[in-house]
Amino acid sequence: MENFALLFHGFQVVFTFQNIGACLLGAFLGLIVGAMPGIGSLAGVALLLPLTYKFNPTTAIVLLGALYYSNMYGGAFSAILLNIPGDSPAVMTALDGYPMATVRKRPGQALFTANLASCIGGTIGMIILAFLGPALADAGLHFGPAEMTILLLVAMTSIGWLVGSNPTNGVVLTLLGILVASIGMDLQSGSPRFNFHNVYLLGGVKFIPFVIGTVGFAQVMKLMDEKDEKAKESGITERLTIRGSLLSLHDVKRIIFPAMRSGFLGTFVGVLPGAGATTGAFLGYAVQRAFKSEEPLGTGAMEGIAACEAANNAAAAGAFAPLLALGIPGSGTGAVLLGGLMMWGLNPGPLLFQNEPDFAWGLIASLFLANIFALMIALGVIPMLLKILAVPVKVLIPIITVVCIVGSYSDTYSFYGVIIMLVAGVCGYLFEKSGYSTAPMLLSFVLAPLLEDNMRKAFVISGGSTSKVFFNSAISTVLTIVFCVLILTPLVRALLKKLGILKNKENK
Amino acid sequence: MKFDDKKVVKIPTKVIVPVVTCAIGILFASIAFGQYGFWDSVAMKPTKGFFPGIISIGLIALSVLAFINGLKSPTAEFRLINWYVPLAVLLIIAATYVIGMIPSLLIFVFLWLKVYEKQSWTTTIIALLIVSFIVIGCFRIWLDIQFPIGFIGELIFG
Amino acid sequence: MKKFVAIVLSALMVCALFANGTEETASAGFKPTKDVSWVCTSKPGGGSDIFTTQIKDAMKVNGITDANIVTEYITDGSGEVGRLQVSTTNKAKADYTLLTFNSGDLMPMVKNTDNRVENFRPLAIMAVDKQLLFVGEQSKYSSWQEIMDALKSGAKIVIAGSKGDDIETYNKLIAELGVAESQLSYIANDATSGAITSLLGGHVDLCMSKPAAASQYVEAGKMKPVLALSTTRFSTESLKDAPTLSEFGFNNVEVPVWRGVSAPKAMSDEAYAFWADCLKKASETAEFKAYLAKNGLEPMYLFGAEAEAYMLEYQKNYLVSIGK
Repeated sequence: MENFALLFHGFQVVFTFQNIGACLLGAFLGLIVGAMPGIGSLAGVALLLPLTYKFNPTTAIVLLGALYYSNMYGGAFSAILLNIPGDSPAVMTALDGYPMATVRKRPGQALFTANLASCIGGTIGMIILAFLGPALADAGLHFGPAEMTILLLVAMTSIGWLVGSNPTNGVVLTLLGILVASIGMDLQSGSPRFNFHNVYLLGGVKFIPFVIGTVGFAQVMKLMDEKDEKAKESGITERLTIRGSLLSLHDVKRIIFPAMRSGFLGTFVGVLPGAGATTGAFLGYAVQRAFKSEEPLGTGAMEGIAACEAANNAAAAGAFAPLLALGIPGSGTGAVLLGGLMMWGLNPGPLLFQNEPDFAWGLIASLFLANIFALMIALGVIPMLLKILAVPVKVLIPIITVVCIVGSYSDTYSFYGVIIMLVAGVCGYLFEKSGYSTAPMLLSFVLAPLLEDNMRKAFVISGGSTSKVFFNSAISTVLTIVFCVLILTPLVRALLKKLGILKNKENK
Repeated sequence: MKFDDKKVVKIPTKVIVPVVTCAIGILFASIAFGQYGFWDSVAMKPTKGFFPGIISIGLIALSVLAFINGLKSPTAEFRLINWYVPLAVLLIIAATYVIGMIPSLLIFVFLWLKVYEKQSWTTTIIALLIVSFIVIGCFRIWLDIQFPIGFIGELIFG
Repeated sequence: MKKFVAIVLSALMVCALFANGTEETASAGFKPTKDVSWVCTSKPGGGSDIFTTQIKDAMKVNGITDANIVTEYITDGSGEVGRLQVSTTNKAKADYTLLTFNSGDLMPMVKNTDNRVENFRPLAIMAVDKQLLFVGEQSKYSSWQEIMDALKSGAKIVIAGSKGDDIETYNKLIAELGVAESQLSYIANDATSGAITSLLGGHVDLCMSKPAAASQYVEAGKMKPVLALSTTRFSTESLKDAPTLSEFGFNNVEVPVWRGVSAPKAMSDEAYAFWADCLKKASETAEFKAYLAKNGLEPMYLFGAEAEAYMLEYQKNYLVSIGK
């Protein structure tokens, strides 16, 4: 109950005119930054950091915290409406969000689902953060390289669920994604690899332009096919009002459980060192596979949107636990926030809660506030956003093309990003046309470098012994068993089916 | 228009894609095993070629499988019209070197809507305003992204 | 009449221009008249960016130069693209181009590319950092002596640290101790915070860190310094108990991690002198000193030719140590 009193104190700190204003501003800017492809939360926070130097630290962190947090809301907008994920966690949202908006013609509901789930997931994450933050951060420390390796292996197996109707092709692109991600500077050896003597490739293939290309730009190329079709557009315009976008009670029931489940899962993933919101969204979606969805995932199911949106917001909240309790940033954005704390003369680390209680609890309280503000602003702008869908495709094509170019340029501050975007886009288009789905490639691109890095660290620690990696601790042993079960189940099932195939038919 | 840009051209990409991915696999495998090695037996740890090496072998094997699968119906249908978009991006990049990025983008939107799609002035101007707001308002002014000003811009402002 | 006024006016302007021109060459030699581009080869918000911004602010607040300096982020190719671009900047722009250049930039540059310090005109070195080795609460060992004993008895010990400079320090350390990499191993992290995470979780035995990143943990009793990778002990209260390697009968291992500024090779002598002077004045401001204190950096002020000589020497030693 002590934490409750402290949280209450935090609210007292935040409820000043100035701080609420900062929170509102942060939530608003975060939504815009999140919706813009190329400018992720990292760039958004970094670019706004200098503007906050003149504020007192509490107000400044309230602004940045709100910005970081509502950024996760904004990422869903462009993913759902344009199939261009604004940020890497939104890649998963696009999987169901875009079909729901276009194929099922329920764009308003898709946006509502994303926002409501974000709010539920975020709230769960913050409650856990407020009451168990330091304890969770300590628990997260137990995940060393060996444990993270196996956790990521478990996560990678679920890519198998994304490969769709043609598993071989899906895995081909998964592996291709891993190889592309391995280009550039190798951290452990401190030397470059697969850079083919190209100075640009030394820095590797950047993820944001890569995503904008494979998903967004490929989408624009595809849109050229339907630019002269009229029928599809009119189908959507009927539902463009806010009333036509509201969720029914039945919809809310569909969302609530996946969102809560993902909320808990996401918070924990966010706490783990270096895992971040993308891994959270990914695992949330993968877990949803194991539960019932009214419509198949990947075809515009609400459950899919809810699961990943709730998980990524919860992970964003969870990531604050190690940041505040231990001074350890879980992501690049966390690192920039940490840099900000130091600029204001605060020493982030194990003593922050003791030395600066106003600041630490004020930040947590402001996250609650930002969550509510972001939801309200998001709901308010949905009707305006829906107008995007009323724009004829032929007008949309040049506009999205410009957004793709500007977004990828802004990630690298050079044409290198634009070139990656263009090449990835053309390849993505060719792949989709040839029956290869690109989603697994994007996910392996994000997860594989984490997996490789942790695996190599684990091998260094174990002195090259494989068994010491997989059975390093109780956690890794349990995870190894889960991993084996996940890998073996489909194989055993297939084997049983083959052996007892007659039996199956008899039962039916 | 003299030629039909919506004419369907059949290209056997379903076998071309696995051939290309297989080639990439072979390239990466040869570098990984040939140059980087697999296991550092002195320091008792995997080298930087370890993980990509394993993955590239997997990619080669699965590409072969995908190739065999692709033989059943190797072709996919392509139309020239889809390729106007990447072509436009290349032209924008080229134009940026001369007149700078922001003018290039605005001229692209104008030409595409007014000349190619033959839209009304109202539509074109509204679209231009939206694009200006996103590019100049958000990215250039607010987020302070320095876009290239091109050869002519360098002469004037440099 | 109008014509006459115009002629007089233009004549006056020409005179003014000349007057201005002669004055310039006579006194300062160089005065920036255009926007200055300061290239930073890492992303906004990082250590290099903060260093750059601090100097810019110090120059602006104290009126050292009224030139409009714009930070340009060229992060492609892990920064190599930006460094290459600055080193080959042509005459027209060279006087208006600066580059943030640290030891952490120099090492990968000479290791992975053909670009060398000789392709630049180093302007200044303005701060230096050194590392220490720490044990954590959960570590098996509590002093460097215990670690030396463990190494002698054949135990395996793992150090976690950051990339770049830290790896170089580690290499020097195992060479000096004469132990195999498989016995005293190193895992690299993107940032020191990752290494501290591993140490606090008890996954590694030692962590290499600079004083600033570790100070909070030392204060909270979660980490303890066991070895100063420096030629002398640290003077800070919390770090002064950490012995140097020479106290155990070895040579000291020290790889100074410096932050500096460089200019293109083509920069004119006048501009070079001007910028070196600006940076020198900036280093003397209260703002810059506060920055050093806040980030646990030690002052190290070398300007102009001194900075150039230092960087060349540093490069020479590094090239020898990587056998290139």
